[in-house]
Amino acid sequence: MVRLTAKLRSAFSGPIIICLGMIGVFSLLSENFFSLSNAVNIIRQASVLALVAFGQTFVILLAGIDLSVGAVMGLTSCVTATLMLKAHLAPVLAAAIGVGVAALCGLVNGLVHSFLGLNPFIPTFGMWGMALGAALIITEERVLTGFPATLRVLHDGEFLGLPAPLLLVAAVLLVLHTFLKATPHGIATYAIGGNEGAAHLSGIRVRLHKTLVYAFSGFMAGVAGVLFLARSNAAQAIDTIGYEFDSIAAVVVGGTSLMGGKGGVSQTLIGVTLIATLRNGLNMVGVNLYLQLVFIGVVLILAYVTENQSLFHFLRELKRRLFGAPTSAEEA
Amino acid sequence: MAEPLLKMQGVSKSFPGVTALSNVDFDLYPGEVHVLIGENGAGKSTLIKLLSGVYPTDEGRFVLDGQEVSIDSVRAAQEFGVATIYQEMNLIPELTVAQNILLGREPRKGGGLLVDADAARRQSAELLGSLGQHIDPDAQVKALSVPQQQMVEVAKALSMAARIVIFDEPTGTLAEKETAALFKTIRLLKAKGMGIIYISHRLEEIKEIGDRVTVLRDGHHIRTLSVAEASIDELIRLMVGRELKDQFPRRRQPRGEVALELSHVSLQGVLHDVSLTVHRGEIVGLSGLVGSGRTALARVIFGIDRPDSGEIRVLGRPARVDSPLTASKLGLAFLTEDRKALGLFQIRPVSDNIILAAIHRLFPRFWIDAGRERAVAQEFVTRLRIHTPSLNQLVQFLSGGNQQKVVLAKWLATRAKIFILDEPTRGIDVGAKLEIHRLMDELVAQGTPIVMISSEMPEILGMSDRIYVMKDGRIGGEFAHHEANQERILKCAVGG
Repeated sequence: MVRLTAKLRSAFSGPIIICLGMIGVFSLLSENFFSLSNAVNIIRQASVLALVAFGQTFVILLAGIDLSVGAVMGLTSCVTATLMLKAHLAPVLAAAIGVGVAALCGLVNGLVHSFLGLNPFIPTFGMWGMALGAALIITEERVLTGFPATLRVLHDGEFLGLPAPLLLVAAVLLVLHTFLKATPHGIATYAIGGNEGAAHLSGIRVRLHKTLVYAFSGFMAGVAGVLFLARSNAAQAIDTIGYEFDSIAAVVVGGTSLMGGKGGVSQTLIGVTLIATLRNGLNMVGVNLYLQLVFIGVVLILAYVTENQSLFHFLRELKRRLFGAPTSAEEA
Repeated sequence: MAEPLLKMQGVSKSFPGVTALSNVDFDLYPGEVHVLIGENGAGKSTLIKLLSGVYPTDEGRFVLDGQEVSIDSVRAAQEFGVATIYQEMNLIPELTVAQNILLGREPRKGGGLLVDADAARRQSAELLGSLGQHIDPDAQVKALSVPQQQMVEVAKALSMAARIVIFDEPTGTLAEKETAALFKTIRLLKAKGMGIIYISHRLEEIKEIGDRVTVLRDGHHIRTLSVAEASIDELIRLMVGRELKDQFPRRRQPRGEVALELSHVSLQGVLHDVSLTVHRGEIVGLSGLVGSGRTALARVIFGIDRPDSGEIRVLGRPARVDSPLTASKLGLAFLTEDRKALGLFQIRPVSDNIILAAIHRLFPRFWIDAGRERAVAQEFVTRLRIHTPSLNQLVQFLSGGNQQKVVLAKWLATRAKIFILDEPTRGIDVGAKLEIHRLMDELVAQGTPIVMISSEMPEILGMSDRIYVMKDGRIGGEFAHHEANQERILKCAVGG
């Protein structure tokens, strides 16, 4: 009974209520918002963010952070496009190499972080610069277009009447969720994030595990980069800059703790949906781009603070902290 | 006598600049509790960390069951059947009981890919059951009490098929009743033929639980003797290498005027209608079980938490203590139970730490006069006999007792008029403990009253002029020094 109410409560946590509220408001303001075609559109837009945010979730579960993912996505799409254009590689092979490069970037992040003992901020921030620089050099700072359209099926395709990116995200989500909740490695991920020393003393290979998680985050950024390429049909080094922040925001808003050890990929999906819906809705309503940024910032913070408590409770607590409870000493 | 389970011979270990252990012998028989004692820095922790594979050993032989082995990793130690229950809990709060017990050794299914959660649950319940515990294997560890968490750790040790279980100061955070339950469990492990290594600062416990006791001092093996032939006085003498006459030096003072007065203070769910007075010239002991509201009360007095109702009077005047800043301006000083996290700036030198709280009093103008800073710091280092190579030494490298003295110095520098000490000697070795107690006596002799929270019954009885016993957020009883004894306080604390 207690568990059921707890589940209901968490199912209607702040982010979900905010998401539903936004859908209501946008539907009133824009007649095109609440439609099947727009829903499919939002899913397509959200899928790239979902993939990269899933990788980021693993890193943040370890109480780490991966700032390189935006640049690594760009590098992947530029490498893939260049291989198709200049080396005339088959698109699938080119994409595989692009994703491999991304995984390698992540592996380097992980090795530097775990084995040199650096705060993950440093290696991943460094990797952000290296990946961005490499992508700019490869593309000679140009936009690459005119390669075979084979990969577009990833973004535009349909299967059983469902959009391909939705199926891709769903499949990845299912695998990762199972991995986290039902495999020894998943439990180890939570254990390391929850108490690294204790995990080590329990015989878990902490450094190896951390290294592989960063490599995985790179890999997921690579897959997201390929999907991004499939969507835009053009590759440019700087197009994906910003995804590092969106992915961190999606993870945190979803409810994965920055302190590590708590959260998961399904929660991240909620954060991704919230951000994608907000972006899409503000566009549909015609809010200008700069004002959008302000809105998004406010909603993110609100979603975060209301995650574990109701809005009402939050306001009451805020009042208590600011003004304090009256004591009889004051009256005396 | 049976074959020893474990023999350590000629074990040595150095860290840069320090010899932690030098040529130490230690052995353990099946079904015995071998107690390891020594002051902080004597090498107890190093010894068990070598045995559990946390540090590599420089020199020495490890013989397990007649076989010489090399323990080069935590995993290796586990495979040899050595399980360690560390002082700071080593559980993952967000994971469930079953996940913690079998962490890194989960039962598998699906061709070894997936965790068999049902089997894990069943095995955990069985292990806990064999300890007489009924803890839900699906409960999150963070929802358990400290003694329950300890039982989870013991179950974890059992799940590793451990034959040697090391307890590193397990009763440090337990109240008396919980300690009794733990001892019952230890006896159970003994009966299963396991060897137990038990580390403790509480000498009274040794008689109760130990079979043999080994004393370490400065990294050397001093003596191993059977508990039956060891007296507490002798153990202390062996530990410190000199005689300690009186553990609790108190010169009773006449009671002065009221310095601190709480009337009907309540904080929802934590404190209920608490009233107490503290007079100049007295040490007021706050006793009670862990979680009975002692620390919560100290936090309210010091303005960290604000009470919902009630009145606090400091030095005769009603005071609205709404933040630690106001509290320290009113002349209150609070030495927290967790001095590492809350009392000290670990990576700053001794001098900075002493000056910090008094910085505005000492340097009312903008600039800090480095010469004056050193002079003031030196004065306290001398007065409190803080053992430090220099004023520039980083606090993290001092021993626990000296760290505690630095915290005391910090508050003395503010010229605080009322001291609240939360577990002032927890985790401090006997020699330093005595010095802290002397300082407390000096403070009181100068008229400064002290509120002392302590879980150590001898300390409460030996140091306090008056004792309040807390239970479930209320004052359960008040005793004058001469009418207090262990039995009456315990009865009051557990509510007989």
